[in-house]
Amino acid sequence: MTQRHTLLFGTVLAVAGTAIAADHIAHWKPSAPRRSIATEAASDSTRGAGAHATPSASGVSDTLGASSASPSPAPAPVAVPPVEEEGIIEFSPCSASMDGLMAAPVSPAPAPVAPAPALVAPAPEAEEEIIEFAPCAAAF
Amino acid sequence: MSSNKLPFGAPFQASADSVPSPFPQSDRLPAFVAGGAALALFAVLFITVGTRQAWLFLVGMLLGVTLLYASFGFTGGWRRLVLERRSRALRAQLLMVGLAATAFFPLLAAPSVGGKALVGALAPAGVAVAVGAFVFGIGMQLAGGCGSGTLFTIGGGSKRMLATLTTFVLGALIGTAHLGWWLSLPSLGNVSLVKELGAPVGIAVTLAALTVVYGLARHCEKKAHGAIEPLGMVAPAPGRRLLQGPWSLLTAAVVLAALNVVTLLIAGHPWSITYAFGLWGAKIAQAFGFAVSDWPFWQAGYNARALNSSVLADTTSVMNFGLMLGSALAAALAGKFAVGQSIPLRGYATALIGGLLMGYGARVSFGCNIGALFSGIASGSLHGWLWFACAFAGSWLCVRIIRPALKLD
Repeated sequence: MTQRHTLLFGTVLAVAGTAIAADHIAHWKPSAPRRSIATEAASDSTRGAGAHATPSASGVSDTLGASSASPSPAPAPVAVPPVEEEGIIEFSPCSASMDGLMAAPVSPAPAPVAPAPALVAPAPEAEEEIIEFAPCAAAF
Repeated sequence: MSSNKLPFGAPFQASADSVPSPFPQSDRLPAFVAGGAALALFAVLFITVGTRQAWLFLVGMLLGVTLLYASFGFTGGWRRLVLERRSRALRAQLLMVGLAATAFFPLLAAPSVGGKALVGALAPAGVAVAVGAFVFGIGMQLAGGCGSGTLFTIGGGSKRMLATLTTFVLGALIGTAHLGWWLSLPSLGNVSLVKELGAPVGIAVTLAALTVVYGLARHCEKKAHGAIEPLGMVAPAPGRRLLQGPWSLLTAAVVLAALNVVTLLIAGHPWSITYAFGLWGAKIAQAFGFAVSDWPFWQAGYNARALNSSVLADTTSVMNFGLMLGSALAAALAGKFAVGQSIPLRGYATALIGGLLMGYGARVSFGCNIGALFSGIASGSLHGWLWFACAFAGSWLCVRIIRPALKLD
């Protein structure tokens, strides 16, 4: 291994590591306990709506909103029971808990916990169109 | 770098005088760096994400070690079959798929396993898969590596495959922009042998089909050479083979099949690679101000979640990171990190073009040799067989016509 090689791979590793760390920190929810897969779908509605409707600089505030923020006098914008926020941030394509999110438009399946309209995108028409090609297959 | 090291692209073999030390002096730095990075990432996953991702990272590392120590690549194996009529690698791949299918079918047929529903690598068998796999087959022979091959050779210190990965990611990202159109083309839809035939008959049909291909490959080799290379064949290496390689293709086939089953049980879905490339591309593009979140693909269910979550929450990405670090650690332990690295400019050009073709092809055909062929066939999905046939056809075209025309051999 040459010095140039060491330098190249060291740089690549450093850049990749920094990018991963930045991405992870931007989306990490430090105060949230590890979540179960079953409740992740519900919390996603909050995260998704927040990300699209009121994007924040880091994305962290969106995810912290309902779970750990102190009680606010103003009414909560999204009505999700607090218990649903205790989920994980890990998930996998096509897992059982994703069925509601990946339902085909021809037979729209209700989401396991949250109301269907709030699941992913703010525009229902777009959702109808795109979910068609988002079965598990797209995740391989 | 010691003088007795072999080029990395060549079959991974340790000669008798090349492995006296369990930890070659010259490769201590990459070993410590790869080991340290792996330990740090494992800790981050375990503490901030969850145990499942941490376990999957370890599975990814074991996959990387196995791929590297056995030089278990699809590209070289297919090329050897086309050019030299040697079928050892292909037969090992078929054995691996058959072993995994035998375990996958009953698991996928069950309503749930340990309270968790498992999902196979199912995709619609249609024009998109056929064309995408064909393009992928050309790309893998131009680049000199497929999805898994790209990752484990990068782990082994290949600069050329690092270049391939950049365009692989770009191609996958472009593929996500076009996938909607490709899926509007004719298709049979998802055809699952598990659902259509049931687990026992499905396994029998799959194993019979794999045996036919195995027999054809074996016959082809025997006709050309009079004898076939055994799967268990491995270069002589005294001691420490477990930690330094080489491993036989037979060993690798068994281990890779077992690890894919472990992946299915932990992640809930089989082993896949190239989905992560599109995700990385989308995240990078987003960081540079491109509104990829407006693309239909990235607004849909899992994809939107993946784009708007940490990359460490994506199972495929985590396993890919593990695969690269695992193979880097293995290469360093064997004293094989970044050897034989004299690459002409043309080598980089083909690496870049090949990566682009593979990325695009993988996205529109729902995976690579791992996600579509290995996991697809093992899951009983018809698209896996279609992918196999079309990718091999593309591979043949490139090996027989494109590479000679470009004077690459």
